[in-house]
Amino acid sequence: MAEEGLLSTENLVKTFGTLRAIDDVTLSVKPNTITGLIGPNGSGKTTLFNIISGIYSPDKGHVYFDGIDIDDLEPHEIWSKGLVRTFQIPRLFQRLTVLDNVMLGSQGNPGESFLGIFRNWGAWRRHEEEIAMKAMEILRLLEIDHLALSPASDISGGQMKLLEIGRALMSRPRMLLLDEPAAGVNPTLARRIFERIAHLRERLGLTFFIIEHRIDILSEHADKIYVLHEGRIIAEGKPEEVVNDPKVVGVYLGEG
Amino acid sequence: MDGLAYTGIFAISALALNLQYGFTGLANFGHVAFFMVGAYATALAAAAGLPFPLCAFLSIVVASFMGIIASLPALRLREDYLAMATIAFGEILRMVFKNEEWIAHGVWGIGVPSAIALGGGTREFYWLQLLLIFSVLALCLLLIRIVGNSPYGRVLRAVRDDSLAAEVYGKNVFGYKAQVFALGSSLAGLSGSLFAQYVQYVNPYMFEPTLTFSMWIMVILGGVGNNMGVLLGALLVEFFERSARMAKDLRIMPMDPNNLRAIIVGILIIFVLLYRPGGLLKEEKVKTPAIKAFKVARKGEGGGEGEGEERAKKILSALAKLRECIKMRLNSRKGGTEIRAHTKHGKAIAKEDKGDMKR
Amino acid sequence: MVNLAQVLFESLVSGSLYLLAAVGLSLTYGLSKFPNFAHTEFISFGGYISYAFLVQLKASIYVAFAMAFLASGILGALSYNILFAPLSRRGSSTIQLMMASVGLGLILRHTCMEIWGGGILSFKIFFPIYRWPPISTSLIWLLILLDAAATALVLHIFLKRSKIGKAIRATSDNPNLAMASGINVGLITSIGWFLSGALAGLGGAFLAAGTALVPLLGWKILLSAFAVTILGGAGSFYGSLVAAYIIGAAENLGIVGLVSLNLSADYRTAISFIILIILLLFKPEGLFRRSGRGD
Ligand SMILES: Nc1ncnc2c1ncn2[C@@H]1O[C@H](COP(=O)(O)OP(=O)(O)O)[C@@H](O)[C@H]1O
Ligand SMILES: [Mg+2]
Repeated sequence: MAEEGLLSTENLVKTFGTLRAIDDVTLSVKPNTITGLIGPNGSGKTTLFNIISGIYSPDKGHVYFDGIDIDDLEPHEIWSKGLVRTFQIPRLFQRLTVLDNVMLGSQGNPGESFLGIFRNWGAWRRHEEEIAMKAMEILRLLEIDHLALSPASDISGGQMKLLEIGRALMSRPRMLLLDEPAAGVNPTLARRIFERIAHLRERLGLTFFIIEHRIDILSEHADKIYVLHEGRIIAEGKPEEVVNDPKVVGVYLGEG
Repeated sequence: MDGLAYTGIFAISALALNLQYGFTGLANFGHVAFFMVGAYATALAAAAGLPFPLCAFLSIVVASFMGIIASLPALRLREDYLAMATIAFGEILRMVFKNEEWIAHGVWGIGVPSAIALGGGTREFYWLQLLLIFSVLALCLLLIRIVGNSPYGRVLRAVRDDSLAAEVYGKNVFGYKAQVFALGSSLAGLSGSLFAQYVQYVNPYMFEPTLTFSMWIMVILGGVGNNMGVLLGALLVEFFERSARMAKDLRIMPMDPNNLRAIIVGILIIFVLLYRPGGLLKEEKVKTPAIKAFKVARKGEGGGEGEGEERAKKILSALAKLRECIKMRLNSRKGGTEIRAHTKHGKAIAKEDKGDMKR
Repeated sequence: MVNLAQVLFESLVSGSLYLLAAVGLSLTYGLSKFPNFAHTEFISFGGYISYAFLVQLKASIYVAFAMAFLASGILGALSYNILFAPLSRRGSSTIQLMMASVGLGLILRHTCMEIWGGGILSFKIFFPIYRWPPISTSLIWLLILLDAAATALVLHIFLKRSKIGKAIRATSDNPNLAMASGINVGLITSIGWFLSGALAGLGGAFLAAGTALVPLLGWKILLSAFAVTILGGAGSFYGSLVAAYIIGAAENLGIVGLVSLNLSADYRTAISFIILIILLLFKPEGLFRRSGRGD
């Protein structure tokens, strides 16, 4: 069962046809830590996030968040519990502005229900102003505030990744699942993103579970790393232990 | 005159469709079914002696009820499947009205009293009809604008752009789709009700799928997601319809004007899709409150009360910072993305030179 | 008393008509991934072309039907190359492609109406009626059966054996993989559209000969053809073969049921519409598709 982890999975299995994409995965992410998830391409990392965030339901096993079994919940219900994810390939609201994209991440906007528009006429306007400010703040943090009013389809790939993160931060999450947050952004920015992440963990007490290919940067900040290979966890532990684990080295060398 | 009335009536349906497709991305190809249900509801209620406002209200209720019945099972479908399912639903419904004579005399149709208790044909009659139709249209437009520019409307667009991401970011996508389907259906029902009382007669042949397509054409032609564009589209389609009929009366055309009209409309659709896929008018810049908030801030500048002023100041400073940032970026780069920001009437507009964009 | 044998026989005939109408639709659905609303106009077009050759130009029935095949085929290929391919290249959505096909349908239908008038045209051929109790049939019905069987057989051989046929199947299954393995996807898709149009045209010629030629000929069976396509699994040739006969049988047997319930026989088409809706809701991948990966 859920040990002292904020998020934990228990014997998760997910198959696609004959492919066992996730094969008996049990792991646990402690609160207020940064936990990494690495593994070669196609090893099932994104699939694991898809299960945790409710997009797929597992064939077997359970997902617990804060002690509650969440594998029967819809994605939007999981989000409202404070478990928020980003996508590896950005899935933005293309025809909306960058600012709108971030604002859409906010929780409890009274104007987002049909009757709410009319019933809370004043309330949602005030709320809008607040979240617009907050969204600008986040955009500034990510250094894309100058793009606030351009359509999300017009920004570069790296900026899209940043916007993904911004939208997730807007959600007032307790825990963030980041799918390759630094892929496609330049190395300096990648480092800065991870510094931000470390900062956010300290300041806001957030918990992070991060898929990342840049093991070097990840190792600097992660408290623990899980290694996935062909749907199975083949190693776990402190970054320096994992990186030197012969099994892990074998997998990465084998991939070539 | 006649043409204007039809424009108004169909514009309401087209606006409703735009709410479903243009805002929310729901491909409803059975739109005419709800229009028809509204028309028949008014016809039957009027036959039972109810006054028009009640009839119209009934139409709205029945049509949205139908919308809920039709949509609840269908909303999870892929867009092309949804289109086929809705068109089949509409045709089945039409067949029922056609064959079950006990409902409304089947193919013989049923007479409907006009909402305006004047004999048809007089000038006043037409004016009053126009007044009625266009006030309803204006109300619908107002409603849709409010909805479209609220956070709710922003969620709808998010659902359209990427429903999975919307779901993952906490939006109950199914719930939003169901609401919009019901809302669109009720507006279609209302416009059907206006139609019935204006034409004063309905039969099942008036509601063939081609009518759905002509509503679609209004949306696609005018501008997906742009209400004014849809009005323009409605006007254009109706204009073709009228001129075709006029040409027929005057016999000035070497070919059957009806065919000519349909062919022109077909060509127009194709050209618009090829060369201006967003429609003649582009989707309105979402005036969701983010931008409006800045407007409010400007207003607050000139004398507001305590708390409001505080807020306005904060926003103003954010706006100032935004401007500052933009200036800085502008100075710090040449070539790349160029952003011009100017505040006019408190609206910050950022324009990008797309020519320079590269991904 | 219901003549069951006759009902079954007529099921076979309607099934054959649906087969002719739907194999092409299924083919392009599989290749281009959208339901072509103009497909039924290809059918009408074939009917009118055969009429033009047979009645207006006094050609033989073989020439007329061959021309229907050819002309509709060319129409199909042209629609793809001039309209749908450029649209896809510009990143049009499924819905936009569908709307374009609606627009194309409008143009085709009304051009036909302009040329041949909006009234009912008759081939003025008298097809003898045969009576073999308990079944009675007109010669054209037999020809329809024959045509459907021949189409099925030829297509089967074509898709299974010929290089182009295999390429079509590969493209329909996975265009990216097909492209990677050196198939000229654009060309193959064009050929697919040609075939689709040609089969529709031939079907239209038979349909027109068997019933009568009206401008809305095609529209009447569009939704039924969609039902066949979905039932068989979009893009699946063998699926649509079986599905055509299932839908044909469902409609003809359904009429018997409707009449016995005192409902109008006009609900005949509603049967396939209801099948269509139920399928879309519960089994959109069709009956005969191995459940592949999700989209
Ligand atoms: N929806 C799906 N249907 C079928 N196979 C899938 C699906 N999603 C992922 N897979 C397969 O599962 C495996 C793991 O994929 P993924 O989780 O994306 O890997 P990673 O993120 O580690 O690179 C891959 O082989 C992929 O092809
Ligand atoms: Mg991945």
